[in-house]
Amino acid sequence: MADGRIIEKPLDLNELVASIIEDTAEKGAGALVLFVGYVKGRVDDSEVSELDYEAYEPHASRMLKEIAEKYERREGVLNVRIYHRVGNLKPGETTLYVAVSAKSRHQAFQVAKEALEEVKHRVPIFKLEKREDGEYWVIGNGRRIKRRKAPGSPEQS
Amino acid sequence: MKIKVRFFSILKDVAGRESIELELPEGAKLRDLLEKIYSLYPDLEKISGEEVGVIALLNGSYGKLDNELRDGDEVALIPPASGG
Repeated sequence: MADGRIIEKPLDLNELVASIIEDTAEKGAGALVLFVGYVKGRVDDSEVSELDYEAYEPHASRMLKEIAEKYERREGVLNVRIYHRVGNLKPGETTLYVAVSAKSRHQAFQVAKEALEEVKHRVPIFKLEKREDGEYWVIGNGRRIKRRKAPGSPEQS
Repeated sequence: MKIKVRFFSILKDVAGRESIELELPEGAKLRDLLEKIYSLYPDLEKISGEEVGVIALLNGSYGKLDNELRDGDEVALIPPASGG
């Protein structure tokens, strides 16, 4: 059954894979594609200390579930699960999981790619990149704007 | 009627706050709300034209300018999403 939501803690990938295979093997699935996003430790020659993820809840969780359900209805697809973490994540920590099981590898790869792109472009999740040369808002598909000031900072009171 | 407006990501910095409650006349549309917000926070209108697309979610769904607002609605102003 399709699942999708915002989470705080990392997933156990072995558990996730085992659960999907158990749910789908008898129904005819034979391929599982798992995308895992993780925090980059270096961007534009600058060292990243952490990414601060924020989601507009409960709507972000609802959209993740809707996307999982939408792609699970695709021909040949048996199961789609999508989870996105929030909070302060350090380089190397996992951030996003998109898992698709299908009857064929072609279907699994294609649907995982489409579902991933929809998550990245549609779900209200935002990140602030903290690096050695300052803090940057990441906008859309990787554009970075240096943070000038934060709400509540002295110059705004 | 009262409408709650929330700001996310860089828009929170530009507005200088996380949320605001605005009073609008009955029958007001999302377009009217945006005009009011831009008059209160001219920097938001400036950034929407220059640096960042400003997107409005009405009660959590992507809104259209012609959407009519109701008392208690929540509008979130967001830049293009950056999950992943």
